[in-house]
Amino acid sequence: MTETLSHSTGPRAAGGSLRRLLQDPFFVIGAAGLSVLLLLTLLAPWIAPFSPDEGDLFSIEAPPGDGHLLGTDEIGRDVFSRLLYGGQVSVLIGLSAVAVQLVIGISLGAIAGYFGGLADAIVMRLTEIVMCFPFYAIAITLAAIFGASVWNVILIIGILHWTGLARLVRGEFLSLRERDFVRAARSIGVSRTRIIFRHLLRNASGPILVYATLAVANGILAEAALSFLGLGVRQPQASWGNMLSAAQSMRVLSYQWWLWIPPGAAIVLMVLSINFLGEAFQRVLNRRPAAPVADLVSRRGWRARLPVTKGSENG
Amino acid sequence: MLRHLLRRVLIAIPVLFGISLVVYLLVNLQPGDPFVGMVGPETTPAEKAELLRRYGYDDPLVVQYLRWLTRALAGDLGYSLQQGRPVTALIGERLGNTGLLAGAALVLTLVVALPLGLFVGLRRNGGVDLAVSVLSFVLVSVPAFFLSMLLIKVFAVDLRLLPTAGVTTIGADYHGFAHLRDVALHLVLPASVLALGNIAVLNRYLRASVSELVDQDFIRALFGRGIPRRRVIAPHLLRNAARPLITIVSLEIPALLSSALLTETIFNWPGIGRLSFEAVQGRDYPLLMGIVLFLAVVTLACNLLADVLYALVDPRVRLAP
Amino acid sequence: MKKILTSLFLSAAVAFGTIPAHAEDGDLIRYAIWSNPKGTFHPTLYFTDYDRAVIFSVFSRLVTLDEKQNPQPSLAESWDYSEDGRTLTLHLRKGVKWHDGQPFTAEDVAYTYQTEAAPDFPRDRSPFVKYLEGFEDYSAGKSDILPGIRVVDDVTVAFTFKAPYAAAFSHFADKPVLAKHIWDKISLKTWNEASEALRNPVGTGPYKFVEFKPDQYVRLERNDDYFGGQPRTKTIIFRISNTQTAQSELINGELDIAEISSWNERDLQTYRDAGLRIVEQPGTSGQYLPFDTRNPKLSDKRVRQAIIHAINRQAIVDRLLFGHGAIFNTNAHPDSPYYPADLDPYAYDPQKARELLAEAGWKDSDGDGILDRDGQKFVFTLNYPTGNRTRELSAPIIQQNLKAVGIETELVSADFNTTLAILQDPECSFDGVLMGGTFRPGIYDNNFWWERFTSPDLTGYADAFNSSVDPGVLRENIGAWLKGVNDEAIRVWLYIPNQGYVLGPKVTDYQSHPYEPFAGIQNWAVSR
Repeated sequence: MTETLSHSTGPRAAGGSLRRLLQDPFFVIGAAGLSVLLLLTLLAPWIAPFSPDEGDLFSIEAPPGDGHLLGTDEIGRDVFSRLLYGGQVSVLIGLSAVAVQLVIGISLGAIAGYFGGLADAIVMRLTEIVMCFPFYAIAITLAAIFGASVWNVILIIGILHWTGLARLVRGEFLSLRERDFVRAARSIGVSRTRIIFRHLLRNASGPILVYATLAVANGILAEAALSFLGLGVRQPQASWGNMLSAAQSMRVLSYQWWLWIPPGAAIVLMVLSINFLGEAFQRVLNRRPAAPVADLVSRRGWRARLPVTKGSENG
Repeated sequence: MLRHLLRRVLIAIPVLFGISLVVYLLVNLQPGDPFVGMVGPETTPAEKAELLRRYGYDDPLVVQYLRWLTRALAGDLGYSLQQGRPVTALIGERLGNTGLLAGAALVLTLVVALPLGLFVGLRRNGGVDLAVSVLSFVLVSVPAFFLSMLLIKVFAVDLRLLPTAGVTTIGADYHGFAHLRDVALHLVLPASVLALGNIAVLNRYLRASVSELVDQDFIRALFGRGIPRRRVIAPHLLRNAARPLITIVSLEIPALLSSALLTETIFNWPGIGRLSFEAVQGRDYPLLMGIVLFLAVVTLACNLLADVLYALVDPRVRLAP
Repeated sequence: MKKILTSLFLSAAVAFGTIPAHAEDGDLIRYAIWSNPKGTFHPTLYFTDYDRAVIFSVFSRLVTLDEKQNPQPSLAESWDYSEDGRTLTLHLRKGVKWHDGQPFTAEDVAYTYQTEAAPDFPRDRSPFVKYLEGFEDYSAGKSDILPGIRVVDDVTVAFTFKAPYAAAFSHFADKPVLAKHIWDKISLKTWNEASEALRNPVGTGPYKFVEFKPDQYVRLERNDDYFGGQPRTKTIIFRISNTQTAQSELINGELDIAEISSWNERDLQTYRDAGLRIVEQPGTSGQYLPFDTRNPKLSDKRVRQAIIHAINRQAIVDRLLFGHGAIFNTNAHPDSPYYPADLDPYAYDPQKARELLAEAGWKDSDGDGILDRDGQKFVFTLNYPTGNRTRELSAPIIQQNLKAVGIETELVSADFNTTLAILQDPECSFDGVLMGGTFRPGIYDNNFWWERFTSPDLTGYADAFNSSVDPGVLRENIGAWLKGVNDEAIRVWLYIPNQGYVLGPKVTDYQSHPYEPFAGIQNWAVSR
């Protein structure tokens, strides 16, 4: 089945993938939802009617109306404006945290999978160490050390979540490196870096893309959970997570829908769109009819596929 | 098999050692010290320094770590200075509650996901399949704390069907069946929150697994002979489902334990998660070290168990090196 | 989706029957506490408010405080001073028994406070013991006797201080008496680890300890032999809850009494609609913003005063506390008998703030809206801890206020102990920190190391009021000290939220007053 993967790198197959993607309802819905949300947040400076950080203490917790499309929050800031700007922060966190994971995960996974032996053993032990950390307890500890800020949240999520990716890349490399086209490349003296980047990584790009897509969704959820614990993005900056942490109060849930439905819906829609995209990528790029189950036992990389879509740890 | 087991156990030792070292460093790098929340505002820096000295917290980090390590190797995880109790006792008195919550979540996951997975797998691309798929995606897209608050609002506050938080109705003094019922009612919401996301994931794996089976030639042949689909599928399904089940279950236990922090905090569930939250916030170094180490052992043990079970379920699986 | 979930849970609920009603409560009051007690149920070792709640119900104190914060007889029936004012003799109540039946005597009292001064006492020392005669030699282990505490007879105990010490009663009202016959058997060094004794407290108070289920509840049963009369309610349960779910638990009847954590009118209305009552009292804890006075930016008193003028504290009280709070202007509660009437009120006045800053050399020379001096911009880092919603929300308000006078504020939030560690580390330099603390009636602590501040004048006043029990001397010196603190503007005194309780519909005869939330616990009752 990995045969399909190496084929899919050809130009013709790539075009086919795109066509198949465009025909996939998950892709269409996900991409549409994501585009709308992204467009809104990117246009925040032009659309937002108010400054997101400036509050008016004489109009707090005001319901929608009076110029405030979605009312005001507990210290009189415009919820709609905060929602738009908060989206930028949440998306930034989701994407950057994945970038951190990609950097750590791909390099370590590639080292382990390509060189094997001692390198593999060391990397795998390191991976196991990080996997054994209880996420929230360690995240809180890291937050105390680094302090709360957008970049530190990114770092914390990235540092604690790269293990799945490393295992995935390692697994792909292990299975690919003994394949004929790699052997051939090696025998005609293609350099190591070139083999890693040009052959192995490119052929593993499908699963990595699927994983990374879902990891963006997870990053956004993790930011929300950290915000709920009071460790997310620092005030006065808005993020969807710290806006939603207002939902801790039954009063807000019962009477002040404008404080929790907008950020709640935004997070759910965003994450849902990304998950749809991930599903579409999985179907089209991985093209393994029963991929999940087959992968579970095919190699130790099975672990990599599971945690991303799991709801239990994403807060 | 036995050699493999031994090998895995030996490999776990450097991992545990690494975890303890990294966490010890992290814990000590946090601003503050174990007395930060224990002394009043009138306590002078000199007095606090004296307290730290008396309890050995002013020794070099290496010395402190080695002292901790020596004791831990002898099975002594130390004392929680703040709670005046051995760390093992503190973990012990909350272990049952976390086990109960995680266990209930697992059972709920299996009870819902297994039949559902079979059902939608057999009726692929039908209305139910689509609905379940979309619902699954929604469930994994909702932040768990948010879902918890919504469930509390709907079922505890608005409908008043279920209790809000805790393990038992305080002061009710139920015994026997009434007590079990009481605990079960308190379990419904937190266990559901933990289970819902997992149901969604497991359901998708099972659906894929069943779909794959249905497409197999020999199954088609059996269908062709007019044997009821369910009778054909069930035995094969069980074997095929065993693998994702083992994975989910063995992965789930550590994940449940580590993610329980949020759920336990929201639902006032007196388990390990809440204890670890308290330990981090209170700078209770020995307690946090104890919990992390305990969770690490559980995680590694579950991984090992999964490997062994794979081999048992399917002898063709070569045990990984 | 909601429908499917609803039916799922409905079926679960039906399977087990509906939730039990709370009809069988009868003789039970459930009182919410916000965090797990540490299980340190020991009068001189406890350090959280939650342990304190249990301790104050199980143990008795020598004196309690009345509504005006004056000491009232409790275990001590009366007291008198020697002529030089240095020796305070307490006459104890006769016939009091510990919960295990042993008689309570003067030995217990002496033991309680003597161990606090002992060399091996496992905690930080209270200021009280440092004023006792012979403390230095005793605590250093140079002497085996502490002349400051003397048992006269079974029911009389005498405390001798280096100089007359008026704050002794505050200590007696804060640290109950422990049972010598129990703790004497345990080496003082290992008190911290004596979990059996710590978790099974034996006191003389209105309630006997029954059990502590960590992270769930503490159960107490009434002490029929309580010297203050038999308590009316049989069982008191301190239920560990949290502010997010307490409201639903109160409305559902899973809780009977809880502190109010939000004064939002909506929340109050929700309680009233559900038939719950609200009790409101003056607050006992203040929120403030200590400055690092060593910091070159803030070492000028005028800058600190300007910052207080710049912050609209009344707006914070009106908007975040919905008017349920007060403003204060020095290190004491406005209800303190010594609170001076002529303090600088530091009214909200951005114009005045700008003038003071200009006097101190801070001007906006480059017209960017931010003040600068010697080429340096005025950037103020405000650290604040998470966990108190009102305080968290006040941070961006302060930021906005300061921006209006040309100070750029950076907000840094962290967990409580991380923030507290900044103040506790004398090496650490900071700008300002949001912090809160409970007032301790009768104690005026001339200790400003959080602010890295000392003043010979203030120390002079403090020495005077810490060595006298003469009302006139106290009034004059405490007043002058409070005024001096106010003038130095070592912190911004932000606000004092009112104290409030929500009572379930069946709770009757609830009474308590500031600083004594369990003052009337023996009279609390529930109607059946």
